[in-house]
Amino acid sequence: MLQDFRRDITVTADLASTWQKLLDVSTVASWVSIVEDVKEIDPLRRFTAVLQDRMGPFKLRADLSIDVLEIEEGSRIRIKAGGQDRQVRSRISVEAELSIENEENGSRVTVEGTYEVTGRVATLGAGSIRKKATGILDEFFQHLTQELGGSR
Amino acid sequence: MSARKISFVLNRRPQETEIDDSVLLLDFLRDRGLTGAKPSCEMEVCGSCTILIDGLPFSACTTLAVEVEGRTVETIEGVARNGELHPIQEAFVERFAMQCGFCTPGMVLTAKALLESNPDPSRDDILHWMEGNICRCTGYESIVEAILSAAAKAGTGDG
Amino acid sequence: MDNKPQIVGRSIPRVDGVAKVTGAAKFAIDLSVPGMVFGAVVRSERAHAEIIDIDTRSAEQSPGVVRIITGRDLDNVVPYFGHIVLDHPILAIERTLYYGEPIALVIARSQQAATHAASQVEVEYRELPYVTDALEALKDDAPILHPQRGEVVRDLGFDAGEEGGSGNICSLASLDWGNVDSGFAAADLVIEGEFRYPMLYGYAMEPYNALAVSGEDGLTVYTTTQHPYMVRKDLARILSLPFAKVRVVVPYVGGGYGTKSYSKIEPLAAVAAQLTGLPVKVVLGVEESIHTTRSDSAIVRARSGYTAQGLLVARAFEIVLNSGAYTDNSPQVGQKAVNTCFGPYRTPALSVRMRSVFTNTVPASSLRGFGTPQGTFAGELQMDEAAERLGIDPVELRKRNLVGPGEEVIPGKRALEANLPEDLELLSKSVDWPDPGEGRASGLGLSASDSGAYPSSTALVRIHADGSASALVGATEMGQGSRTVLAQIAAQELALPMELVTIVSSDTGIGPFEQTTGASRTTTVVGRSLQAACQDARRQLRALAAEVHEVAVESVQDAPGGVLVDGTWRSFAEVIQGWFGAGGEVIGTGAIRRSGDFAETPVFWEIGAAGVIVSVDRDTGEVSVEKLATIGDVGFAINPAMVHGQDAGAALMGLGAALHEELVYEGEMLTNPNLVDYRVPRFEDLPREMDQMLVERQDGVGPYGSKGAGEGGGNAIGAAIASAIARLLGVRPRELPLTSERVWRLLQDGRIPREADDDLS
Repeated sequence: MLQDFRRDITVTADLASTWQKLLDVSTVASWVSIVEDVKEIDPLRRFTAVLQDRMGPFKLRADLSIDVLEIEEGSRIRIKAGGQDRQVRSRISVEAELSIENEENGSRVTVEGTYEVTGRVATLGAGSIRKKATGILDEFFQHLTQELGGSR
Repeated sequence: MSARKISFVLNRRPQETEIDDSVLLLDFLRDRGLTGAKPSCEMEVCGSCTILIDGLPFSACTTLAVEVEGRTVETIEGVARNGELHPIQEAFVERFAMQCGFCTPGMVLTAKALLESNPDPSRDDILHWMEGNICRCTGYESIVEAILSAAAKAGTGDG
Repeated sequence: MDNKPQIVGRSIPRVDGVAKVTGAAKFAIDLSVPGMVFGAVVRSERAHAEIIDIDTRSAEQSPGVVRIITGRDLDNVVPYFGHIVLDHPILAIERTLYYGEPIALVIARSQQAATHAASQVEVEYRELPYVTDALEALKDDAPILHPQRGEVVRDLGFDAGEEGGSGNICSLASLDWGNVDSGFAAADLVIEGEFRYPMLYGYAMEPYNALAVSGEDGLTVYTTTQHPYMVRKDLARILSLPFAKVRVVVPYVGGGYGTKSYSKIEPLAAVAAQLTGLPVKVVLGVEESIHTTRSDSAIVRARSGYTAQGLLVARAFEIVLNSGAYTDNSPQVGQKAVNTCFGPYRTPALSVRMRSVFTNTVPASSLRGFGTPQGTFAGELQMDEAAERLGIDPVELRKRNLVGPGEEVIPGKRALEANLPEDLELLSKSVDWPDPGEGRASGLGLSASDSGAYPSSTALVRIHADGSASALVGATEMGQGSRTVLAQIAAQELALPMELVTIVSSDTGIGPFEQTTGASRTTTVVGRSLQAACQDARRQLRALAAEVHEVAVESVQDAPGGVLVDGTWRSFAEVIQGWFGAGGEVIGTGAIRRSGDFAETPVFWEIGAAGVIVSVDRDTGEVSVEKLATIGDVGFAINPAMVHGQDAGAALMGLGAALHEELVYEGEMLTNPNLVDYRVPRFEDLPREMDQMLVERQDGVGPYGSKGAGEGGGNAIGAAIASAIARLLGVRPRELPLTSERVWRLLQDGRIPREADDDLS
């Protein structure tokens, strides 16, 4: 079931530094706790990674392909990621946009988009999946503020 | 995939056989023509695959065949003796405690284990003990009555 | 001959009882033949998609694999089945219309090998927009599942909705009389409401399975089906075989309830057997069975108008059924919902519109009740609400409006045989109406359902050389007791003891044609054709005796197990052997068709009268059913204990839908396709007190005045329970199941939230 998410946070780093950091797709991907082994296939265009996680009785391992769909210099990055775990017969797809804006004492980073989990894992129910997604977003922003300087 | 020898007692007869580790007890029994235990929910909740191991009800669909090494196994085919029905079986027939019959072997075995453990169960005892066996046809009431009737008969001097 | 009931009307133990308690009774799932191979189904993982490629290469290399079949291998057969519209593909062809749809069949030497190889098949899809909600599917921009409908193979006069922009319409039905507009305008009270009935899974405990053997003399399929002759028809069409070369054999059926009406996995097994030349067994797991068939869920908008004295002046209903990906039986379910939603009440003006809608979900098919529970839920709850608003006791309100015996419910159809006011009286007494005590409330519901039993039936009776008898019928035994009841009828008619009578049933190669087993029809319809067969046998025996003894045939009389010739009793055996010289046999035939007693439809009205006493835990919302009462208004009970059993079983099934059962879709797939998350009633759900009452007024066209039983008991339970909860808590439930959570929410917010809210995790 398609779910959406949206969250923003203000960091102390200025717009230029924040932008540089966000362009480093490998690092940004590492802020997502369940994604590892990020490899660059086509610079700033195509990446692969591995999603590994445990949800309820399911141990998931999916090869992810990550495509950068759009880059608006200094302002937005739109990505699409997807993969499936054949063993567990489940798929995940994510579309997300990271955008930044100037703030008085730094910059504001907004992450928004949609995701969908289908297959066996989805039988855990939308509630459980959402909880997991919220946790992942929490960790993402934790890492982001660590790197770019926390604010409120 | 490895095989090993196991010995156990099946319906009062000693067995020795070589069995692969991964084989489920339900498939092992059914492949040997003991089709009384039935596959239904595949996850130990419906009771239609119930067999007795050392007198207690187990779901054969989630038991490995190798687990019965050294144990006593009883299936529905072993309940009637020399063509004579067990009192529980008689009570089930008298009280119309079955309709399609698919859950019946499991029901009889679980009820048998109940009466062997508690010869004079209350209605609540029965509802609680039998909770692991589902029936979709009868609405359960006739099964409860059959078990109470079998218990009463046994109580009046038959066993 | 004195036909006073001696065998019928008695609770004779089931003829299959001993076989079932000893495990000797065989079901299709238990059968095997030498050289048998096993099939495992590969299933769609999209709700709506084009199938771009099916990669079977690594699966083919898997150990033990014999063959893999996909939609591309069906060129030499008719690849569709369906008894109304030929739209159900044996395997998805180029497109898949629901998550879980069969895409391929892997055939291997063992079940394990087949299942293992099936997991290696890779399917590539091009996703299409999908729709799982019926109201969404009706919108103009909804994706269309069937841009072209399949061929209509059975003209039931149903409206496929081609006119006026069909979109995802599976079928339409309507019923009108009088002028509802002026009725509502003149009414003193008009109330409206929207009601929802859940998507259910019948959970017959024996999952779908079929064993197909193809040979020179044709095809034989052993399967768990209710209607072997309908399966035969599908298979014959698919493989271009004459009926005489297709044999469908049905041993005991491990639960039916309508879920095993019409072809399911037989076409796939049959095609596999033909393509491989080997016997192929396909056994589905329960999760797969859930993805094979479920019931139509319904949204019913109801509007009813009353005078100040509580007399109905008009009723209007709009029914939308979510019917899944293929037509199956939804047109008939919808028609039944139309015919029963307004209840057995005098309705001066009526307007009912039904739309059965395609969605990218598991195909819907018959389930016990068949449209009646869905409509009755809305109609009966609205009667209760009207009673409250008018200040009239709900039982009294019903009494004022109930159709009496001999009155028409639907103009032009068979009049109602039953005496509903009396049934209502019995029911309300049983549930201590109006006040069953502190902390408890009573609720009741009534329905009269026009049985879908189609009168087309044949039967044979063989009187053997020793005077024993075999009755051959096409009816299946799925627990309802057909074999026992029919044996009783044959024994009664021939005045033979039960021990000398056997029933041979449900084998299209041996026994005679039977349209279906379901719609509570067997006692009534098959019973009559069997009676006719017995009477035919007796007529022949009298003629033979007359010849043997050289007397006028008019002077020979029927007698128990024989005839009277000049006052002397001659046994059947004596007559038969006397005529043949040695051995011999007399074969009686009987047939029922739509004429005479069976000219009018419905064949009978199946009465549903249910009452409950409930209590509710206000802290948790948990509903306890203290008492559950039903009335089996069956005309004449051939076997009273078995009627009780059927009513109790139907009542518990109804209780499941009322309190616990619902298939839930999230996104493209079901979230609870298993027996843990889909909760059926268990021992501990048994009401403290069960009261299955029997009412026999000999008012039916079946043998000895009997009518059908087995569905009515469940049709009104949902309404009865919701009604009792309303009385107890002062809140009006409008949907089922009334799980603890929903009742709790009703108590807190006065409503049940529609979507999964954020705080519900």
